[in-house]
Amino acid sequence: MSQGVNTFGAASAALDFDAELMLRVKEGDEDSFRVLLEKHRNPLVHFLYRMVQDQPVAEELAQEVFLRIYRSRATYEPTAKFTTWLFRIATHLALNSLRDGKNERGQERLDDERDGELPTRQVADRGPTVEQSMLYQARLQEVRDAIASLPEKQRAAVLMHKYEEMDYSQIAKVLECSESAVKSLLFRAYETLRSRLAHMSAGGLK
Amino acid sequence: MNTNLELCCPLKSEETMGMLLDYTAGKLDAPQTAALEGHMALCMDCCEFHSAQDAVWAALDCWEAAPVSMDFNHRLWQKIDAEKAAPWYSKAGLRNLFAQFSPSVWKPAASLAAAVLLVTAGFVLDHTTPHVNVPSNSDTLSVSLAEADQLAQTLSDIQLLHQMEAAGAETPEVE
Repeated sequence: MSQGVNTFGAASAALDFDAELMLRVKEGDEDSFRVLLEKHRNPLVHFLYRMVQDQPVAEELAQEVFLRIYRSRATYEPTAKFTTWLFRIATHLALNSLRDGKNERGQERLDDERDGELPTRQVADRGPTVEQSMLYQARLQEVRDAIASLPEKQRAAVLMHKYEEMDYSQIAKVLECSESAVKSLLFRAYETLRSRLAHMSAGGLK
Repeated sequence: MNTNLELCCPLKSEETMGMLLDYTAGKLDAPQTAALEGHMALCMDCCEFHSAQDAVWAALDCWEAAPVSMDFNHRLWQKIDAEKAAPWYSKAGLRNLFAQFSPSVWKPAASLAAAVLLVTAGFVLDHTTPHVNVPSNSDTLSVSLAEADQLAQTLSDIQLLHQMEAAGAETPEVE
């Protein structure tokens, strides 16, 4: 691997580490792809899960993102941050999935399966009471509904801003719009969320 | 970012409102934080905005994503290996090319194509004249020559028969 770094030398010095890894993948180094996969798998799946609110669909979409990355390895050029490219593909796929309505079926299943696990864990031993768990579930559902109610681009912008901790310029690159447009998207989105969620006190959900 | 908050409230413009969002997200540096906190001590609107935004932030914090499936990597590598082993005509490039034509695109296109085909077929059937085999001049000539030859041969045969009949009538019967 160190030989690979020397090969790219000064030209790649300014690149982020992910881009360097991707350049190695371009040279046929599959281990570098494994590193990228390990590093970005969880954030990507979590982002897609919050976008489509369906875990199996989110994982399928994430697999498609990594497949596309792998397929594009031969023509890869580090013109942007790797994560920008990654999340741009993910956002496109998520928006297409939402428009195609692929996740409608999964939504109910997710509500039944995944949310059902949490109260069980919390009720055990010295955990919260059943009432507290039910309250938590109700509030969690409220959060999910509030996010789901946002227009798609606002939703993507909020999720990248809040959970991926991206700055305005990177969100703008992912969404292929200007920074001021991103700020506008975020303000409108947070305005909606404030009107729906502001009644929840800061410690009320835990 | 504008830190002269005594002169300009961040809520007055979308450009500066980002400062309040960044403050809630903990992304402001120390001087900006100090400036904003000083402003919020005097500005009720900014104070309320921050309070509501803080509640939203905390609400969003409670939404933890589910863990990723254990076999995620395995499934992905299976797909990659399947693609590597696939014949050239089923490679991703071609698939992606056709994938661009989603059902919403090709279904109306197929209907349109069928309609055009029907109209064209109707037009062609309506405007096609019945096909008549008109012999060419050379065909006509060759047929005529053959018929003339045949006629001459027939006449010659008839003439020969007459001659034979005449010869038979003149020959005396042998007892």
